[in-house]
Amino acid sequence: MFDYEVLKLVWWVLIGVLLIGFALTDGFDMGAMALMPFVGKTDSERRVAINTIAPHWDGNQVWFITAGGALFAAWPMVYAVAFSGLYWAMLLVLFALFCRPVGFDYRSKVEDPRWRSAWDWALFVGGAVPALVFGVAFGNLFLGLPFQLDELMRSTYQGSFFALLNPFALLCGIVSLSMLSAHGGAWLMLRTDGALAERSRQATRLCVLVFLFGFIAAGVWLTLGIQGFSQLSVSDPGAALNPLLDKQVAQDNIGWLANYDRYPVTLIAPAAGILGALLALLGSSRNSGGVSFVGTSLMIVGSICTAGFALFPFVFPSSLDPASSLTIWDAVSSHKTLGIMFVVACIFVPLILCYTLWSYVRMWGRLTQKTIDANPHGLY
Amino acid sequence: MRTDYEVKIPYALGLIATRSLDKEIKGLKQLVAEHELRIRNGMLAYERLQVLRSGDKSAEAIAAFNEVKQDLGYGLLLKKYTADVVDASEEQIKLAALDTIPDVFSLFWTFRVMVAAGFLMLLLFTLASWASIKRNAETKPWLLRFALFSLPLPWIAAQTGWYVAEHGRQPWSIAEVLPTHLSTSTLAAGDIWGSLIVLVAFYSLLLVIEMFLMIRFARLGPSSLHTGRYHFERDVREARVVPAHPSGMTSQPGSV
Repeated sequence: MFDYEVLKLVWWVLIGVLLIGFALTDGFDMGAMALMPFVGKTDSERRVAINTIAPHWDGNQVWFITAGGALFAAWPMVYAVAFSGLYWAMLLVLFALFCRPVGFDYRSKVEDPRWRSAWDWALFVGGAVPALVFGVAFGNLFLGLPFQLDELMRSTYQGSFFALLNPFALLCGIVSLSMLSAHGGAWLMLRTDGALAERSRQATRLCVLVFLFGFIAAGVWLTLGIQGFSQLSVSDPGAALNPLLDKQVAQDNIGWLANYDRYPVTLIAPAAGILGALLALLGSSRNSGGVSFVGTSLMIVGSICTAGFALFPFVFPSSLDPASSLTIWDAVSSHKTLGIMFVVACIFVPLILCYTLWSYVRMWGRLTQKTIDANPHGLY
Repeated sequence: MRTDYEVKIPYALGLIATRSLDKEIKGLKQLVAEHELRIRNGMLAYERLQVLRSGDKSAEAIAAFNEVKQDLGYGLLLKKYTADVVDASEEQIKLAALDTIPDVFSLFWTFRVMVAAGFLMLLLFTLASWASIKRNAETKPWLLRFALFSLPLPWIAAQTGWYVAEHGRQPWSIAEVLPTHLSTSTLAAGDIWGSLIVLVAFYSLLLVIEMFLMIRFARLGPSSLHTGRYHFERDVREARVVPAHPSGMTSQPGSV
């Protein structure tokens, strides 16, 4: 139906869409839980915060699982190299995410304040740690990761977990954490009232400011101090390739900026990131949850696209052996696999979007302390 | 081997083993001999692949590879013994051929345990459905006890079934294409041990918490749901296990 080259490009877009979908939806779950122990001073306030995301968080998390599944099916090489190379980082995310379902379910089962406070901090970990690690992982993509491929396409990873925690990657981690926290704060502004909403407003403003400075600082650092990757020889992108086939990759300063140079229209992505942040600031100073939420959403779309456009066509660059770097042309599944999955995605993604939206419409409205106090057993 | 008792189901094994009613079901010794041949063919395939990779893209080289490529996976089985595959000794070929047969004893028993667990559950659900229809489950303590002690059955069936599926397909990750030892990641054993230990520790902790809550709420009974529909609602509140709630949601009169 489509030729291979177009499908490769389509799947780059689709995986981007899944990542953005995940960050937009589960992003406010993670952000709201990262802020919850700070903006919620009383047990009721914390329960309000938890119950705003209670009907949605597991549905939202499916975006993450879908992104992992799509990676496995569409970019199997990336899946293999990333999941084994970044093993401990992945496990850290996984263990942090384990804290969420048990936290939500166990917290309200016992009234003891120590019990509840322990689960509140578990929920904090489940929100803040993945948000931080995702940013650190993205930051490391710009530096390249120390892996190489042998003649059977098996990857050996030479780095360690602690090597991931370098200054640039940590800055990206802070950008990601503040971005998702701001998004969660805007969500709480929209869905709660009283002192909780007011503290969420202040938290949102603080997080947006941190994001804005971090995002700009990371951009400057990338422009001035980081060696990008560029692919010198491109074999036919419509052919069945593997990462080791006739590829020359150089590390040079222009690397990550080349796409912005060649297609200035892509600068719309970083502009959207900054514009979103300004909008979110405006929303928080006018105490408008809606404006803040639109702003933080724009921040997320803008900053993920900024990273995606800069890296294109690279997905997973190798610092150890640049020629082993994985690109969207040579780390993908077969033509047939991509074609079948594209048809499946065209049918099911809109379907999922419909019922997800429907559940938000049904569950909309501000959640007040009164509602929470009236339902000590029916709600989390 | 002596068979004392047997129940014969005609054609069933044919469906399971070959997905047909008329193909021959081969014995293990026959299979080992057959796999040994395919391993030798696979060595050829590996050798001819190296020729292709070294840049010889001639039609003959491609035809020569295509002739044996279906056995390339069998050739890769030798990677466990020798990195170069083509220089495998007779003994290594024999070892690789033996590798293609998983351990029969454990498969034989885990498969039967799985099936037995399945049939026990089927029996329980049939009896329980009947008792539910008749509404007399409470008068049959043996049925309630059967139900209680059947709790681990799904777990046992899942674990033994998992063993049958995963051990039964060894040494392949993808049958006849990708050997397991080549499909694993190159992580160090220490990483795997570390993550396994952390996982076991974490889940054990969750198990302790889960049991604490399960026992606590099993003791409280369904009244702890505060739906107002079950026995002992008042007693629970008076015992202050769960303090009174301000909502005014009380048990409905007459529902006790």
